[in-house]
Amino acid sequence: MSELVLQGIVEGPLLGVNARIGGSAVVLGADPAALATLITVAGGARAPRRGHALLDGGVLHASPELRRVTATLHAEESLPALVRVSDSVGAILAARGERRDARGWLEEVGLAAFGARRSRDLDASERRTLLLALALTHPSPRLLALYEPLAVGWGLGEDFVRRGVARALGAGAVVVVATRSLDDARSLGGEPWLLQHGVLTNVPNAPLGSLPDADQTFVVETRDARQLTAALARDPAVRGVRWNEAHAPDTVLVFGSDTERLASAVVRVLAEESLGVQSLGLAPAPIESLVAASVPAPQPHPYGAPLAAPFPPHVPLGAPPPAAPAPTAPAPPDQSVTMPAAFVDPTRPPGGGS
Amino acid sequence: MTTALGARLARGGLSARRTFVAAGLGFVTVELASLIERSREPAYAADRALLGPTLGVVVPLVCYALFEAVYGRERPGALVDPLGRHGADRRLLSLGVNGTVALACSVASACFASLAAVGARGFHDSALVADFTASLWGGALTGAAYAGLFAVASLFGRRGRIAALVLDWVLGSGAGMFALVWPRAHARNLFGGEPVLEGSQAFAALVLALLAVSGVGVAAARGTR
Repeated sequence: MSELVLQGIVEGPLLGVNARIGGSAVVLGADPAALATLITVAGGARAPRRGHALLDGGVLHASPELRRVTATLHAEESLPALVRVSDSVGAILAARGERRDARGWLEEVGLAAFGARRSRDLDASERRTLLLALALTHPSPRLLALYEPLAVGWGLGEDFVRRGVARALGAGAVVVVATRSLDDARSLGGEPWLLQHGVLTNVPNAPLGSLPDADQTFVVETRDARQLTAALARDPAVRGVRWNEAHAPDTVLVFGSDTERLASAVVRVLAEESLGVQSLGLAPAPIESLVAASVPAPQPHPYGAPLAAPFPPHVPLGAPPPAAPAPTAPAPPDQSVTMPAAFVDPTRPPGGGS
Repeated sequence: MTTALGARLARGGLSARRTFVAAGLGFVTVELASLIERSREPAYAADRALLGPTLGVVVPLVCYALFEAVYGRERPGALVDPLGRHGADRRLLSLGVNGTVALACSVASACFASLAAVGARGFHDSALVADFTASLWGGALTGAAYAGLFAVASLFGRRGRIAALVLDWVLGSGAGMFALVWPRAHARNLFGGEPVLEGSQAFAALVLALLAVSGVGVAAARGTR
């Protein structure tokens, strides 16, 4: 079994990453630049400003032999400056020591249509698809480092990714997946790590499989948002409702602690009030809920102890705020939520809603 | 194997249309200049055509254009990294890339110099064969030296190459200490012009060869494996 060691890595948004990873690891974080940099550095494509990425004790960036057994997918991919895609794929296969026909390989992975195209004509998504396929079909990887492998969006299915990851793990490789999505992390599995404020933290107890119920949020798109908000405010299953009339007049976020009761409440109100609905769905849980649930162990910080809250918490688009107790201060003036009663579950003590 | 991959990368850039346009313009310029010089004063036509427009303008500009076609505005890392991250040795890739461009610069410069000699002499001149041969290897050496210069300058991107071109123009036109490291000065000496620091033509040939080898070597050694 191989081992990846990240020693005091400082590079761009990474402010001192230390980790020892064997087997499969899934790195969660809200900052895409930090995740992308982590994969680039951990895969040996770039030397960090400080620190080292070591694979089985060897410095990855300085060792062609180790890079040859490393398969990576970056946030932004580029192909070798050769005219045809098949030429570029052939050069990559040759660089990692494989004597295979590029066109045959492209057919094998279902990307034969790319072969005759010019390398520079592939768009970013197609390039990532191609490089993901190359990474997952590496014959003998010792490190697989992937940035958002389930977000390539072209041709390759989730099963292809899962099979490739399982095959690499079976061959004793280290697998590091960086993602912003809890759903993707759950789907791919692996030991959870959290990359936050430039520091990587092991969160072995993070509830990837069952997130706290308090984080469940339904996103309802309806033209009758005002009526829906008013009606839901009376429902005991609803802990809070957010509606921004100015910026998203057709979107209502409904928070609650019990998914089943929350879904029933939303559907019942829509039926009782005869409200039209365009879409209804469960919002992905924000990464902050993982932070709150896992309570990571403190880590040494390269520039001294970090501030208690150096940056405001990241809130993904369409997601509710972190599951912390709601502030008692009045809403800021730019928020157009006008029904304070709708925010608080009457069955809860004051200040417990969102 | 890795060096061959580097050579393929360079060929990919050199096969672009603008490379052939630059070479074609160079040939036309050299041929016209040679014919004009021959029509004005046949006795000095070869010297003037070689030392003036051919080695002074066309050879450096075409060598610059060849590097531009391969590297563009990027630094060498951008060219070799897409293969380096998959296990290719970046130094050997760089050696392959710059070696191939140096070969292209040599061939192009040899063709320009020999074409200038033929155009200025005419096919009935008794000194044609001697001049043609000398221009062929002298031109090749000059092209290789420019390749060495631009290989090192490319470590600093396009700005580095432009700076090298301008400095070669300014400092290489002299014959003193400052002219010592510029191909223009030694190419001029090699083709019978003013020597640098009173050096011989053999010295000029040696310096040009050293510039070529050390330039390509330094450019490769500067990268990480």
